[in-house]
Amino acid sequence: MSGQLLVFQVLNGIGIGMIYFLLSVGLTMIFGLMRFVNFAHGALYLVAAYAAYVVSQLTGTMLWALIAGPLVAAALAVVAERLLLRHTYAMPHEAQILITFAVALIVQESVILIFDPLAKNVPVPAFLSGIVFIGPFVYPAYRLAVVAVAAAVALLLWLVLERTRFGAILRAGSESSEMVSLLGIDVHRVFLAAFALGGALAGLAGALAAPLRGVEPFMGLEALGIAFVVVVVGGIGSFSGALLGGLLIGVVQSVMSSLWPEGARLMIYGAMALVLLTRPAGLMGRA
Amino acid sequence: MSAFREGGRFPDWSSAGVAVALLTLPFVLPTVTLASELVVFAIAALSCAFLLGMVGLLSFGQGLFFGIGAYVAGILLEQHHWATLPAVLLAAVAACLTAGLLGLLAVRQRGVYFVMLTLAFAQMGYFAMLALKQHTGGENGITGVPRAPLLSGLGPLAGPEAVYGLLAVVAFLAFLLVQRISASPFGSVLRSIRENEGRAEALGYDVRAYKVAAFALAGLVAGLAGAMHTIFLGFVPPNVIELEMSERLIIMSIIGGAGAPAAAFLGAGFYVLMADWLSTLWPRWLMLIGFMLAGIVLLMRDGLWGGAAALSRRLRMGRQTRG
Amino acid sequence: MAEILLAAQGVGVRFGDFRALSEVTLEVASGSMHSVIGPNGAGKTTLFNVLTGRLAPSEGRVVLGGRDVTRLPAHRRVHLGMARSFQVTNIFPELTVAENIRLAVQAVSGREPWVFWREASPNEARIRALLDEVGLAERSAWRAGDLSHGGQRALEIGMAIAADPRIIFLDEPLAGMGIDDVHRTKELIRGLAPARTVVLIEHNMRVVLDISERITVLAQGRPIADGPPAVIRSDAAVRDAYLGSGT
Repeated sequence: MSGQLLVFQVLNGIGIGMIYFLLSVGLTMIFGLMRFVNFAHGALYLVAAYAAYVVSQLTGTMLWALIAGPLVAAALAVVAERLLLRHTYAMPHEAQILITFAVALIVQESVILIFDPLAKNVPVPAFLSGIVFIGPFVYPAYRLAVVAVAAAVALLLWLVLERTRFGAILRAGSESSEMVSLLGIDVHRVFLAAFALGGALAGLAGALAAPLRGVEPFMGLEALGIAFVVVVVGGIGSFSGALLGGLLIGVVQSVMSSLWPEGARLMIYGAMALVLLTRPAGLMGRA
Repeated sequence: MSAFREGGRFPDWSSAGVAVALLTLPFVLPTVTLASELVVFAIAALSCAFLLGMVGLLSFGQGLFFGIGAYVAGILLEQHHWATLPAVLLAAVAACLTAGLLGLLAVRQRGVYFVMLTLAFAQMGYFAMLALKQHTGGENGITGVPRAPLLSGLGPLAGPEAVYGLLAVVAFLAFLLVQRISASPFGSVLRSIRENEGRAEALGYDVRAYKVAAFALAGLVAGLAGAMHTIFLGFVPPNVIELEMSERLIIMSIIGGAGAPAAAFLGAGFYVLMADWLSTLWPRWLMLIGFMLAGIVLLMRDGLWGGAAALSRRLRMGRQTRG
Repeated sequence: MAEILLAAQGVGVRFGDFRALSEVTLEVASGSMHSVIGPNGAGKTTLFNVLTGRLAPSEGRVVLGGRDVTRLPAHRRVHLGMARSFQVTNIFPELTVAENIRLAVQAVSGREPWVFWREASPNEARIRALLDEVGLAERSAWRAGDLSHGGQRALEIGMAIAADPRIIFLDEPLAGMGIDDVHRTKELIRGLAPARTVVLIEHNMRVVLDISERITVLAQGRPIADGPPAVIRSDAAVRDAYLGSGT
């Protein structure tokens, strides 16, 4: 593989890896905090991507989708939690998986109902449609912007987790939600906030990804699969795990796709199986 | 009524019911093809319901074993010109052995990690199929699978009716096997594992070994269904090994109710008929399935089968108080 | 001097930085009634878990009948003649009382659990005898989860006896029982030895001092005393450790 191609693929991998991080960090926090397995997480990514499509159709650019996407996804997350999911916290994991899977199915079919089953194109914002020079290499401006935005959000999220009271509660709750409620904090409001936040982040991922791959109804399912791999490999409940896992998966997938495309996916799920078998806590999770 | 949960007797009236259903389906339904499709998925859903209802294992991997059965049968029939029964047998055994090996790995984890492992295996299977596209046909699948004679030397399968006949026999045998197991010592152990795994272990049962055996058995049944699918369809589409197939089988078992073997047949029947009937009226019928799934998990744990059983119990009690 | 059936040699258990057990050495004589007592958090159940195979120790050995079973998993030890009941009731709540017992009997019936081509052998006489022994004969068709607390504790013991073990571990069998149940269960437990060896965790000091031949006292994961009831009763260290608890 030529140097230019390798650099290109690695940068692509970092970009897609940051999107995977945004997609997965919500899922991992929710599972760590609430021991809740959310098979509808991909649906949040999906609706935000379609929101980006709608925004680009209405305004000519998807920029506003960077706000609309997360909002739509967070709204969906909140509605689902309040109406349905809160009743399942006490149920066994299998029931949670099945119910959230049903929600994902309903959302997917609704999207096809409203739009249609065909993939749609979402144009890159005009001012980012050019290229950037990095030394001797050229690279699409939009992809660089994705990395920048995602990194900024990651930093912001880290600050929230480490420096705010809410963040401290989230981190404490990931270790023991009983402890949090014993401290007099309304656990359900924390759950709801975590759900909304996780949804918003997945929504941002969807909006950012839309111009890169277009939107189509099955992207939610595909995203869910990748999110699970990242969560497992990175470690359940771990922010740094989601970041590390996301980047790892993104880069591996990107580089492998030029060498052996089918092998790329095989390796990724193989890595997930390997981690589950040898070190279920993942790279950064507590053993 | 909940044979997986309580053991039931072998045979019981549901055995007769299934036999009657299998005999009359091709006459009741508009086409033999539809009846065949229903029976194929009934067998496949049975593998899923068996694991979930009897052992308490939710497996996202049954589609993988269905697919392995389908591809092995397709390759043997199309590329190596085997006869039908040997091809079906080898396909089922291949699925069973794969399930046994993967089961050895999967049962090292429990709960959500087990489910995720089966999901990872299912995905790996699909991408492995794509990677091996010179044998599996990749995105195109395997076309032109011939209708081979049951055993070499006999004449070829006479047509869709003969295929249905084979399907019905295989389905009934699979059903009887699962029912027999449910009402046996082995079945009682599986049930105890679902009830309280720690206690079963403390009593002296090697829980992992039993889980692997159950997983292998479910793989056998799914592989059998997959092989039948190839024969009935005459080709192997790549979707037989996609994750969506595993999800479809889970939906069928939940809707029917994972409580009893016959329930899997009901669930598969419901799904296949809905697909056939509704898909022309409203292409987004899967949304209804989504609502049903959520509703059943929340409200009616035993699915349609359980609902019917509860209803008949109510009617019987009503008659008693009045009489 | 009766032969030693079970011995723990230098057993230690560490959970991360926390030491649940340190240098636990004890010997259980065959046919004896041996109690393990100590304040809450002393590590008694952890010790049980190590002895029965539910937990592997970080250090030390467990020897059963001369055979090193330290790494042997719990389900294998059952087939060497070990059975246990649990501190927190651990039965099959959705199954009937009779089925709970039948499963316990079936587990040690050779190849029977793997038979899939016929019905289970009813084994009625044996199950009936066991149910009688623990006083659950009239409730044999009840759903186990519907039993009273005392009934469920009795079922726990019944399931332990059902495997016809040579050594039984009973973890706080009398916990939460009313006076009548306590008396009946105490006599049931007393009657188990010397045909079988019994290792008992109990907080009810009166019962422990009454029926035990030997008592091992644990505090903070270490054995602090080991001997017959009379010796333990007057041991200063034991009294210190137990200040305020027991009768």
